[in-house]
Amino acid sequence: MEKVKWLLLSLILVITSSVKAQSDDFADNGLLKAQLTLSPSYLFSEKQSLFYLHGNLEYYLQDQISVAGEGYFFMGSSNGDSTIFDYNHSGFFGLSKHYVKGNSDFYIGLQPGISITKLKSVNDSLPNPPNGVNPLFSVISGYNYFVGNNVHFFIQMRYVGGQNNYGKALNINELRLSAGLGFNLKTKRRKYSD
Amino acid sequence: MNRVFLTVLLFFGLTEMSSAQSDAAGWFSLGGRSTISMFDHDGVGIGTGGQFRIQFSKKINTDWFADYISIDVDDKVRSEYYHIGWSVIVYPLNSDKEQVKWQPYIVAGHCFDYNKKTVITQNEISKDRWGSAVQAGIGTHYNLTPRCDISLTSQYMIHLTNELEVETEDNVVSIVTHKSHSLEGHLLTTLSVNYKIAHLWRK
Repeated sequence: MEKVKWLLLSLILVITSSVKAQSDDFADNGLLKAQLTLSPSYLFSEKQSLFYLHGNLEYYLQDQISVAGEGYFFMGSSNGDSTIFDYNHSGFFGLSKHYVKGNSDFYIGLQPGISITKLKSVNDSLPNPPNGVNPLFSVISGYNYFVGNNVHFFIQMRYVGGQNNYGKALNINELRLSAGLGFNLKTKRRKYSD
Repeated sequence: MNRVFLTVLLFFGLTEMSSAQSDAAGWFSLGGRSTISMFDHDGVGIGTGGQFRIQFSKKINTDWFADYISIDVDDKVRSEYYHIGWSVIVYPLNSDKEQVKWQPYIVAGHCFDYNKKTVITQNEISKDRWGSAVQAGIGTHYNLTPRCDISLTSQYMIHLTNELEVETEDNVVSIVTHKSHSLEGHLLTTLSVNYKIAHLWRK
């Protein structure tokens, strides 16, 4: 009877400790990521391809949840043509849900944002357009692959929804693509999974 | 031996229970939001903003928000709304939030409301007004993890103030103050993401 009790106790110990086993997934709580890349986009209303300098800073609040701030600096048309914008910079802030397995990290997220937009002046129809701030809605989806301890490859797709209401009403819905090499740092010791 | 065995068993039982239990009251959450404004005489617009929440009990939460909404009125006028306010969230079902995925709620509250209307092609033609508003509606959280949720809320906001109206006559656009008090407003549908960043107090 004594043996059975101790066996039962050992079993409980094994079960509780196995639940807290170490995770093999690379992306977890405390991971800090930074990325900088050129991002081409497609502006639906003008049927034009633009591009941006895209920077991102992201922190993993939990194993599956990260908070990120992202900025896009307008660089013009991707094929050198004139665009409707003098500039169309934008910034986003939001949370992402991650599906992590090993070194792979797939995610989807919601990032509200704003754009700072100025349309290009056109002699008669739009002589001196003002600049303005427009609210933006955005959803993102992407994939990270971590190589080594401090580097990862990434690809991200972002849908941006918005409307410029300064100078001329213009739909500024866009699809933006970013890819490249990013840097990451573990700010916390690898913890036991919950 | 029996006493030792029972003590050890009780200790592990309590440890596991305490890690699974949570106290809903006292959570402070922070988040971002996107809003669509509809059924307004101005038209449809998009907004962006943020909010924090302070939860008082399993059934009662509060939402403190700020929004900036921009609406294109017939390609002629820009109507900008700034909202800063608060709402009470009541969970009639599934109030043990950390153990459910979907958590529906009823929401009602009050906000301060600033509206500015500007002719898009002539920035100097502009009019603004301050006001107050009340809002009520329904929504649901979808709990991604025990500390993170995505929330969809739809609420009707009634402006308790004079409205600014856009009038067009012979292609001349003007903005006038409409003085009658009717229950005018807009339907605001908000998608937000929220993260519980601190437990301010425990029961």
